[in-house]
Amino acid sequence: MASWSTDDLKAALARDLPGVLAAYLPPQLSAPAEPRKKGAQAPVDLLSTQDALIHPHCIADVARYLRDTHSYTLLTNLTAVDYLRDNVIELVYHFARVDGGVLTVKTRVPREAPTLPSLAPTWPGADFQEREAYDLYGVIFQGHQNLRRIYMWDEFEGFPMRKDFPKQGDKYIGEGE
Amino acid sequence: MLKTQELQLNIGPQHPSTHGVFRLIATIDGETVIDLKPVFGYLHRNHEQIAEVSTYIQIMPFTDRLDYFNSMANNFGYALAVEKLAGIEVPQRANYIRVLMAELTRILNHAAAIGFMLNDMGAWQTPLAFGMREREKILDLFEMASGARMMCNYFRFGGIWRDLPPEFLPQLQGLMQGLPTFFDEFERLLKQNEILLGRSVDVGILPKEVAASYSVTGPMLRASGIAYDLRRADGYSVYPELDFDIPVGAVGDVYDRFLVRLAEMRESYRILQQVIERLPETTGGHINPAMASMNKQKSLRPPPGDAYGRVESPKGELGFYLVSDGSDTPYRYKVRAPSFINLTPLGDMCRGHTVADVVVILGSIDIVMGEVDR
Amino acid sequence: MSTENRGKTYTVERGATKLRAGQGLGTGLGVVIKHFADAFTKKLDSPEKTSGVFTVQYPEERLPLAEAYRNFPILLYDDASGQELCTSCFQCQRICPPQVIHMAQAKDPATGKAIPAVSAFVIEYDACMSCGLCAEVCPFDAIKMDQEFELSTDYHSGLTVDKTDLNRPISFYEKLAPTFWGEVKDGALKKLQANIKRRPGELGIAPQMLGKVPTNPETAPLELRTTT
Repeated sequence: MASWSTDDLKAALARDLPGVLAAYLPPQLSAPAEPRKKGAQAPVDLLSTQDALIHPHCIADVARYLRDTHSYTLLTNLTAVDYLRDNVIELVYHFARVDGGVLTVKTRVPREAPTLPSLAPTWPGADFQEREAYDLYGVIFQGHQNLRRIYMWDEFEGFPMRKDFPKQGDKYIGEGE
Repeated sequence: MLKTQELQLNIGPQHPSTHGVFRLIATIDGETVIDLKPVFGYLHRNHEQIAEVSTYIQIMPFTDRLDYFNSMANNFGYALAVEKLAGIEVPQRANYIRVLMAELTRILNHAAAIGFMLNDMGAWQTPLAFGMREREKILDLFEMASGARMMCNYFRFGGIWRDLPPEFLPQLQGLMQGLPTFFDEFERLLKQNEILLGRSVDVGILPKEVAASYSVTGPMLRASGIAYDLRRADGYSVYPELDFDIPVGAVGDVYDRFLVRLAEMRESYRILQQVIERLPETTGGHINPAMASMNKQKSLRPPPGDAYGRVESPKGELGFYLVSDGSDTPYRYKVRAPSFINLTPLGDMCRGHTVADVVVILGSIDIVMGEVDR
Repeated sequence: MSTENRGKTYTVERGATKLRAGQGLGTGLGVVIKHFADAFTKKLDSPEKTSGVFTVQYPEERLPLAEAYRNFPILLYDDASGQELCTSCFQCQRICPPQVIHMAQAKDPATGKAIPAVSAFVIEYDACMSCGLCAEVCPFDAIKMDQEFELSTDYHSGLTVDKTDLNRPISFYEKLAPTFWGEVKDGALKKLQANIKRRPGELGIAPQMLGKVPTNPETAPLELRTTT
């Protein structure tokens, strides 16, 4: 079986797991925004994507479906991305097959309540990667046995990779140093 | 039956056998490990956040510091991801030189990794000296080509920094003459050694299915019997044009990992032979002319979108996930570090073994803390 | 392209894994003893050899450095005129990944206008990571990578190096890296000539060359110059 393209994945998900695919509607630019300053960049719609976008509560089903039915056995990569302007945190999963081919599955959770089911119980390889996403982005993976900080020390407050985390100053010493 | 009591044993963070600043919390019953939890983050420097405030080319020297044994492989993965994101072509000659460097890196990493694993078994420094000797010769080559032995910073988007200097190939050919002797000697020295066999056979077995569910990659996964090699699976760069085999293990224990690394060095040697043979006939320069000047490199603004570029680093799958918002710095930059994810099954592998075996199993994973903690 | 014919998957040969009464140990020791004996008679001085002594008695004995070898950045000035190549274009300051390069542009004392010369230049060697991007980006070939690596010191502040200590004559760099300098020599000197014309008086002359070279002959004395 040849490896899948993104369209194959979307078609298969729509066929076999109806209701998991989420639709993304680009923001309606009703009124033309105020004239941009010369040289300023046009605002980029970072959320528009060609990849399969699913509802966050379905991630475990999709992962199991890909692994058991289509032998995408390796959960290669798990990434959180913070879209501060759009107020979402996107989780990007990369599933790989042993004979080649990698699939991207994306899901989005709101920044205030970033919660979704954990893959760690069925897919222990997700263990450290989910802890990393929790540590740096504050994403809560429900069902994870040991969701603790992995890089930062346990007493650390805040999630350092979020876009609104202050990049200057030291929270323990103060702004100056 | 003797009544026993469980004990929590803290190994590290400052311990010579933990390959860096790394801590293991072991629950032991007598000498037997019941549970083991790795704790790390002591070397965490938020590499990913530094990258989000740097331009694309500024990140290149930082990737050297991830897995400081294999800076060339790290450069390769990052360059590949950016090229995928920005749609940059790489000329054939540049690709061959990249593969040359990546395979030299694999030989030096495996030679050192086996040496360090033997260190952990108690063969203090002797096998390591054999590996380090070959590594030194390869580092001399890196210094000649890139200007630095370990922090090479050699790759650029669309190619490499400079073409190989004229004295590079003669010295490489000299090295190639010596390498088979080194492999044979290394194998004679270690392969049938009773102590190595006693310490590694059936120790830390990672069965096929378990290894896959843990997303382990690299020599560790192959030792468990799954022939997953990105050079084949993805066929990036010019690997589809090269002949090489994929060695896999039968059992998935520490001994198989050792054997797979030995065999991979020989396969890398085969690739090097083919690359050296074809290098004079390659077309194209060392870099894509559209990206040749540093001005182009530093003002690179990939179109908005995301890309996941990955290479088979000597330790496993090294992936870079990049999100661009059209500016000159990445919006999101994530490293999928092989050492980090290969550590996940450590607790499972150590369960039921003795404390002394924990050190050997950890050594067989071949981790570098610069990459685990990032 | 089909990849099947390019290689196969094979299982590594485990060999006999049962202990054979010291046989494997003996084979291994044979290798070690051979190398031990070679250490007294042979020297490993070329890459095809695999045995013999390969250590050298540093610092008395030194291995040659590759031409491309780089350690920390230095600034170049012209031997004859003492003019610095740097024009303070801030390119290296911007690209430096750890942000350790700092500079200030020279200003014409008469007019207050910025001129293509650098008045202050500081590199923090203690945080420099020797990546070489500054040398690569410099459009005037003014900043280059030095090969001096014996910089250890007990005086930490001494590793914040200013322009006087960074300056080296072009002939120094030419000796270090003849090929690299040969590639850029003509362009660099041509640009320097153009820049000298815009540097009044002593501005742009390396501090250690002041007094040893005449002040810029291309520009008239300050009081005679008309403001532009």
